Amino acid sequence: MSTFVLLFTISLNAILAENFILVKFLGICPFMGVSKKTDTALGMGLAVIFVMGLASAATWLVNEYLLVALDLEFMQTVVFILVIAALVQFVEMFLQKALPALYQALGIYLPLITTNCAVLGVALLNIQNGYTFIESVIYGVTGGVGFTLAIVLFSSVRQRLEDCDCPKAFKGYPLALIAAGLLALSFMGFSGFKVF
Amino acid sequence: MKDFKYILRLTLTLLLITAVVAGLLGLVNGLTEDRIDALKREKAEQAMQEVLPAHRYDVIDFRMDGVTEAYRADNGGYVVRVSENGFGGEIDMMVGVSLDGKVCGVSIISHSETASLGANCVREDFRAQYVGADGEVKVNKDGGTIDALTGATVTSRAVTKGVNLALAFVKEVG
Amino acid sequence: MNFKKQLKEGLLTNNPVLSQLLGMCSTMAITTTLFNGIGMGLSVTIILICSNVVISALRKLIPDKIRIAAYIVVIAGFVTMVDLLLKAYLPALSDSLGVFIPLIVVNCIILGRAEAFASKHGVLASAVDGLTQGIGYTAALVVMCIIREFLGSGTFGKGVLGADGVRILPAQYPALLVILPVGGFLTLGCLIALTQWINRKLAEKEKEKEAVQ
Repeated sequence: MSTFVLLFTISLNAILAENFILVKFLGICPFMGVSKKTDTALGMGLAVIFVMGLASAATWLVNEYLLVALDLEFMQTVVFILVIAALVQFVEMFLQKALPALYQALGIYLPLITTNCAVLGVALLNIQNGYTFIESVIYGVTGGVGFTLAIVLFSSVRQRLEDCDCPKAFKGYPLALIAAGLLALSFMGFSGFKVF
Repeated sequence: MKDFKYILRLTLTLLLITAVVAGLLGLVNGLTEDRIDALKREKAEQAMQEVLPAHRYDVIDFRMDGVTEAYRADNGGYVVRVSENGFGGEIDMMVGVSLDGKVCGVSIISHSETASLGANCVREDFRAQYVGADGEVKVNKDGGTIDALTGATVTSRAVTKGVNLALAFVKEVG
Repeated sequence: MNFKKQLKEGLLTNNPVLSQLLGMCSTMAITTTLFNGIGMGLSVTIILICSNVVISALRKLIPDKIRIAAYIVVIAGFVTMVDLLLKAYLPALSDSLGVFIPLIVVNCIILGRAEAFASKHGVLASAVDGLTQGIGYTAALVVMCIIREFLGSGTFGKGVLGADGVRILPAQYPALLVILPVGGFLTLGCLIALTQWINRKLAEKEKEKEAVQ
């Protein structure tokens, strides 16, 4: 299989068949928390794509050239979360100085991303799957795209849920979860699907 | 000046905490490392005995993408350890290939598939389907003979791919 | 000591999963067999108690600005320790939970309790909070597991009572869907609805009591 085809397969899987939120259950907290409006959902999604791509690159390099080289692989979790926290902080400062317009749009979501399990999850999965540097970055970015797709789709469903009539006990999160379940059901259709 | 002192205090506190945590982890790692390694080795050896019983296995020094280890057993067969990406991560498995190029056993060493779904790939009846295969195997959804696990096509495909890889490897070597 | 009150909060009125809606990722992802649920619940409880105690003991030493970073390091340390110990002594559990053990680091329950409770209370109270919240989390997981395992595979206690558990429904009846990701969302949604309903009834009762007095 040529590299291009392999990368394409990884991307398609990350976006659809193994969608981070709806199939792998990574990043549910922000998914439920910031999906009330479509534009905030889109903002969060873009911030996540950005950070997941960067985090994949950074953690892969740290793992390969620091942890594996020094035989400290057991420190992976601690080091990865520190790298991600530092990265998020750095991105925040950089955006504030260099691209204030983008910072205005994404700024409030950035601190929330440190504890988004999709980010730490993608870093750990890259290592577990034995991906190369390029594959890791692609997996990170497309995993973020999958996250964005799910959260944007869900936000439009959710706006309608707000006004609908339902038993009192189901108001709010329960109904949202059930709606998310139905969305997950439709994504299941992709899992039988094979490109190559 | 006060600012500098404050920043120094922040840095030192964080550094101290990280150092203590790292030290403790080093300690725990030292205590558990041997046991984890021993468990891993034991598991791999068990899997080798299961797929192709033999008295001695000699390492083959031939590399191929996806094949992590390979041995020639003293009775002429091959044991190939392959890893494939399943649904939840890497599936690490051992495939035994007899002298005439037929699969004589598949054993899953470790996986991170979903419990009750993909995790069923360790079940005897699923693995037994591969025994006797000598050409390319495929799951039924792709027009082959292997009954994919219910709700876990991705896992079944990954195991199938691993078996094909092992067969290709043996052809290359033998 | 109001252990009883804290226990009630942990289990019902302020349950980390069902009322505070924290740590939903792991709740939905791993609750397919009872073995997983109990293992995950206990691991989180132990980590929660340890991190609560340490963070509460250090609360006056850690400057405010770096507290989140410091908490994360402490939590990640404990998570890695548990991860290594499980790999060495309970490899079956470690295999079956996979990446979700290291992901306990970003489980919002632990950081959430550190920030909301341990950083403001004494060591003993924080330990009790860790224990009660941990029990609440474990209880929620176990209930999820029992429902999903029963409806999805028709068994009870997979991994705990023998490798395949006790079969309750004949193999052709269970709806596999419940074990799939969809089932996680649906089951959790219904459970949260149930909790909201119970909590509302409890609140109404309290009000009535007050009115009578």
